[in-house]
Amino acid sequence: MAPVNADNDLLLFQQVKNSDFSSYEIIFKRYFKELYRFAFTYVRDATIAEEMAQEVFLYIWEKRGNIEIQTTLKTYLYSAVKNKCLNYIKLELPKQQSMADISEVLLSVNTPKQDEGENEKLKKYIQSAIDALPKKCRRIFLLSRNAGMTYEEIAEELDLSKKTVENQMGIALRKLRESLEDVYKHYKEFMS
Amino acid sequence: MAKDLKVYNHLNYNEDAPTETDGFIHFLQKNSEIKAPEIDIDAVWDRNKRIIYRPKKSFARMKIAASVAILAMLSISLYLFDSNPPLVQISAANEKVSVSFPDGSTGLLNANASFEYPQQFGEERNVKLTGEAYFDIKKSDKPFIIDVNGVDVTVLGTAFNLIADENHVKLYVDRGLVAFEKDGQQTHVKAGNEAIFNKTDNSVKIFDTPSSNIMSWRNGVFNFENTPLNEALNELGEYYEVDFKLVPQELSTCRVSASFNRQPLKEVLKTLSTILNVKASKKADIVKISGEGC
Repeated sequence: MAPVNADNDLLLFQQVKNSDFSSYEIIFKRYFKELYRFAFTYVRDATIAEEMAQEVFLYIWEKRGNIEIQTTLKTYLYSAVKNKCLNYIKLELPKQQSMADISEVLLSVNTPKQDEGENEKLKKYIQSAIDALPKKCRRIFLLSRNAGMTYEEIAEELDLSKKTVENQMGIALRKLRESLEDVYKHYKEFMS
Repeated sequence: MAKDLKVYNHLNYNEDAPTETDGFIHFLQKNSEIKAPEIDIDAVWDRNKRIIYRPKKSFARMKIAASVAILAMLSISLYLFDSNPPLVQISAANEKVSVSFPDGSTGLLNANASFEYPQQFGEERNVKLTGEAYFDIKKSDKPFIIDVNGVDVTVLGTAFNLIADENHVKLYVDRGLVAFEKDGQQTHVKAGNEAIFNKTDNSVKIFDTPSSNIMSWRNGVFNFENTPLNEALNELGEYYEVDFKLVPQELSTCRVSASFNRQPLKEVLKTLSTILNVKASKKADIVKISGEGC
């Protein structure tokens, strides 16, 4: 099935290159959702994930005349989204205010909605603890956790030494451990 | 030293005896998988189309339109104080007004709202707001601080909607992250979230999805789902700048389920008439809705 789709993709893309907007729409509707989900695994924020995928599609339309796809369209799209996300984690994320010393953030998730399952609550706690990490730590943690990069790859990507990455990761885990101590204890008791 | 999570991912950690840290990492890994919320592909596609077809000069045109409105409807005044830079005061009367601040940020004032800000920003970008406005803030290291009814909203660069009445300040974040501050206490509000600050008990509540159609006065997109007619008409009236009169008053409890996207008022009224089996007639800026009820 895949080769047929891939052929069809490249044909469609050829039409996009000839400024055919309806082919562009077909490609958009075929791939947007999966690219959005893919972006979400990196950035973990629905709005940002959507923006990452949107930007890739906008770029494709804008630069349609100059884009040459060597592989398949799908591979091209996925690597474009991945690059966007890595750039976001690298360049935009540090600009955002860190939620580090805002106790209210944790307070506000102390009262999760009642109908949520235990597991959902747990995920919320963990997510808010990750959000509350200092900027530098969080960036490294996200690259490691979401992008599945090794310390060496992260060090190279961020132009840091491997030692710094290890140290920051250590800090991240220690901080998470601190803020999730109670939750973790409860979890262990529950599981045993 | 912390274990490489990638290595952990590949379960290599089993080579060593499991440690307490491994247990914790396992717990983190297992429980931090979150699913991307579902998105509406048609809405996303619409946004994409809108950006592609956005006329490049639209903002300039909007500004010209706004300045015409300013001439007609606004009172702008400059106050001169001894030591402070001159203050600009802009109030919108019956129309929405777009305002460019000295740093290039923009604010869209809803009807009857007003801004007060210095002609030149110093170390901080301070704006005082009365009523409701939508902001699009230029990124900068200098914080942009909006004083609304004694509550400070601090931003570095983002877009959001802000409205205040006597006892509440309501903030809806369109993009980015906004800190909401009162008496030195900060609450952060993420994109897509709405925070309501209650002045009577100093509490801040954060909601995942904004209540009602909070952005519609700005963009004209309304989604009503089983909404009481009077609530729907309040929102529509604000956008189309008309008042609705219901005859008989009991019609207000009818429920509306409909979506509108910047349609002319005439079309909106036609749709409402059809779905509610009522008649709508417009005289000046008053729309009378009459019928037997639903």
